[in-house]
Amino acid sequence: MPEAIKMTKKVLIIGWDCAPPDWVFDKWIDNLPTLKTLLKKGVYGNLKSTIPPITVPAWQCMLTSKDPGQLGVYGFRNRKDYSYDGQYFSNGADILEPTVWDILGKNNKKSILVGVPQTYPPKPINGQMVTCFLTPSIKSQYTYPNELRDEIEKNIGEYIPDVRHFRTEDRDFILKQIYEATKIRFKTFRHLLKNKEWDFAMIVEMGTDRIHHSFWQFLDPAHPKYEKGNKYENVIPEYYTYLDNELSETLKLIDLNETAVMIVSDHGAKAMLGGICINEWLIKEGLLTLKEYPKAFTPIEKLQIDWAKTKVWGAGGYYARIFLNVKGREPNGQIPVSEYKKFRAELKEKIENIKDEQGRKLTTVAYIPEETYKEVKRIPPDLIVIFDELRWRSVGSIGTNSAYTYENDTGPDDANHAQEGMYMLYNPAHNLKGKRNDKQHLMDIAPTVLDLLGVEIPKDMQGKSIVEMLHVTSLRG
Amino acid sequence: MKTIWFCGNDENTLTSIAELVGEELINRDKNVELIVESEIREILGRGLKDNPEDRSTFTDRLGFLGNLLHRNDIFVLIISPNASVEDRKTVKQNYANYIQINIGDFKDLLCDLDLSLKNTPQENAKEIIEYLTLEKLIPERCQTVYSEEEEEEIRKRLEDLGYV
Repeated sequence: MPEAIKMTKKVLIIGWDCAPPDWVFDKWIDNLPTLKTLLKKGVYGNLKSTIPPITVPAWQCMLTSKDPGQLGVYGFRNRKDYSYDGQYFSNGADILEPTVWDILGKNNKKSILVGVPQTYPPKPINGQMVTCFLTPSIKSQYTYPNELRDEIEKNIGEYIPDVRHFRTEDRDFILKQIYEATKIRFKTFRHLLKNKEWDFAMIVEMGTDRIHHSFWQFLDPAHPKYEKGNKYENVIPEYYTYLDNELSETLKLIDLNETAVMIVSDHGAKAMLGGICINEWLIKEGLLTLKEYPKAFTPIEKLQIDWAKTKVWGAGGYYARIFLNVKGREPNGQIPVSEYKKFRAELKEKIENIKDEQGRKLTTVAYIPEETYKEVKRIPPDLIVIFDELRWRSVGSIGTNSAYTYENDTGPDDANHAQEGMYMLYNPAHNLKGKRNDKQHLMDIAPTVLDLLGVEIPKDMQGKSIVEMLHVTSLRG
Repeated sequence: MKTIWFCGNDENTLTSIAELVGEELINRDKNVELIVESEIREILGRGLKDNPEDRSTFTDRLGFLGNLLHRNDIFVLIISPNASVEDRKTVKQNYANYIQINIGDFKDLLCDLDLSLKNTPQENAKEIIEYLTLEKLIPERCQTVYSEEEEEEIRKRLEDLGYV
């Protein structure tokens, strides 16, 4: 492939967490003039996400080109041991595989990172880093180098890692916070672009995810609670138009003749129809026994489980994590090791056959980690379940005597994630004339960045350079 | 546990890397003993002269000591630039659980992991830790970086956001 097509001087990535390609490209694009201009000269489409399609670990999979098993990160909460309560919140220290900025740093290239998920606590990089929404507060050290924090506070003001007080029905309050956080994040990013040296710069905006989870019911006619003409109907598209304006302001600082630009998301969004109360279902199947059934809807962590009579328990979230109580592994294990694989295969089949309340079949898949990932590090769940292609979420709480719920147990939540995120690549060295290509995986992003900057792609990266793939495709006609 | 021999031409460089590896092993709740030839020769090499036969004896003593500590669940990190390949080969045969890290231009067939001096000590230490992890000699790290108060803040935030 001609080097001229591959090489650019700089690469800029704007991440819109949870941005759905079907809405951005097919419904809103005419109100996103900056994106539309880039898109006309670039390539764009769906970007397949990881299993599970969730912020942690998806962004780090994108930026290491390794799958969740290789990272040993299966979601926000991971088991630290085989005890019943031994869970911890995954964070940047879990990422032992080299990220794209680690590799660029070894090649003397400088990076700027703002808000990239799972970068807290900050690690030394060849460049500047402002950590992500997993930063407990701005009292924590949230920058690298340390003194960057003072620089931000002096020049920009109080940094906001994430929306505060999300669990409220006061939608106007949530909306105000989302805009405030986004505004300061882009202001910080532009300050760094203007004042620091860089070859690679990346910002991830979480406001997109937050606004979907809070306002999707007002937007999407497929949502059971949608009412045409409601006062919040245009809140999400208007926010995207605002983001397009932030993109425009950011692009004013860069030379588009020498900088490749990518707009990416880690997963998409879709209407949430309801929740499968996984532990209620397990109780009905005789696989989970409580010492006392709760009078109110209660998180399973707060309930007394009779482990001697329990073979399986589960956790909630946008997908379900299923844990088996195995003899010699868990403290009071019940499933003999010799029966583990058979038991798990039967359980997988049963879960995949869970129907909705009207008896209709759901398109559910229960993933076996060893069969899903190239490697399995740390302690994965025994099964990872995605209900009905993410139209249903998993609910871990118990107390309704039903396997179905239409209210989330942890607050307002209108959207679930979708398996397909989005990407747009503008490469100044190669006008792709707005070609749509829906075949990319998010693990293709890291090798694409390296390729664009002329850095050798490590052989153990799972993804392929989009630039390289498009060139091969164009040669084949 | 294993006895890890750090081989190379510069004792200071080897020691810097071994110290970093030792710190990380301690962080992962492992017991570690760092044995640097120049520091222990006076005791462990007492009565030995600087000839091939006595050097072999000294290397054998290092191997024996490493094995003894290994049996007591201690990772032993040995810095002995002067041990010959033949003597280390004998140690490897006599005492199991031998790992050799070569750093720089030092080359021989006993090597399990070959590292470059172009890397910083931190990068080399990281590679060694990754190697030990890959070989399942140490567990992958699950790092709780949050204080109790911070963990509660993160838990509440992620619950509110519907992630957990």
